[in-house]
Amino acid sequence: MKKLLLASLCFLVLEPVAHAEFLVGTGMSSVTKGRTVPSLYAGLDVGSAVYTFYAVGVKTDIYYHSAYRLSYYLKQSLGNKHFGFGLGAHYSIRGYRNDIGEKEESETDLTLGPGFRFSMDLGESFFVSVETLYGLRGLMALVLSFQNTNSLNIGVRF
Amino acid sequence: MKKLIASIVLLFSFQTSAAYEEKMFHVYGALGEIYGQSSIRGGTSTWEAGLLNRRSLGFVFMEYSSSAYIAYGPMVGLELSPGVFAALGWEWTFFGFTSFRVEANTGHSLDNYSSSEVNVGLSVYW
Repeated sequence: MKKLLLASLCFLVLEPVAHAEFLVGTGMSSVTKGRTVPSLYAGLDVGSAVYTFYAVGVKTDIYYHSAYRLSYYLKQSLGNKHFGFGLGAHYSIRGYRNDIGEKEESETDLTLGPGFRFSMDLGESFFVSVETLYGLRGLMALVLSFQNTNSLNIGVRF
Repeated sequence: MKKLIASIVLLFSFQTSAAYEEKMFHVYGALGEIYGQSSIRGGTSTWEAGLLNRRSLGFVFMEYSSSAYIAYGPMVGLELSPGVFAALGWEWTFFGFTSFRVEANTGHSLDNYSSSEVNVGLSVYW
């Protein structure tokens, strides 16, 4: 039943397209705020919508933190500028220990919510984009901003 | 006398019959989330400058598509690191010289500090 629901969702969201563009690039995410850690950024632009994904992480002997975001945005264009609202999910896992050799503890977070994306084409093949996920983790969280995740990305389109 | 001249100039600068796209200048103030005042900007229908959100100071170009608009441009964060600001919003005018705006925005600076908000505010045009 779960597979059937998943397949139905895929058919509803993934419309057939004659032309699509792949987006590949790098960027930085507010997950590692204050530290410019490069992320892996990838996307699929199907004309009326954009699907994007990023992965970013840091690791030391004491801790690690990996974060992933998957988003879907409707797309509108004004010249070489593209924008739209959508939905996204952000998953992070972090592990830590008090000292080297001690047992590692880990925590995970899953945040869902609305978001928006703005991108600008740079020449024929390049783009720069800004994406935000307004993370919702309860009614009170509607008025807070600490669970928002933002990213600044650059890359190529092909 | 100076105050009188300034008042006359201000009064005659209001163009109550023009659409907001045609007005020369406006001031926009907005509240964001629970932290109070979020944005104070001044500009025209094609650009704005000022405090863009709580952590972003900068200048944005604006482009309208009916009542929807996008704003994008350079900014600096609180640590004076340069960055990029982008916003999507809607604007509805009333009384000919003021408008109500709802905007989702984000500013991201190169030191990887960022701030995203949903702002609700008013503009006054003249």
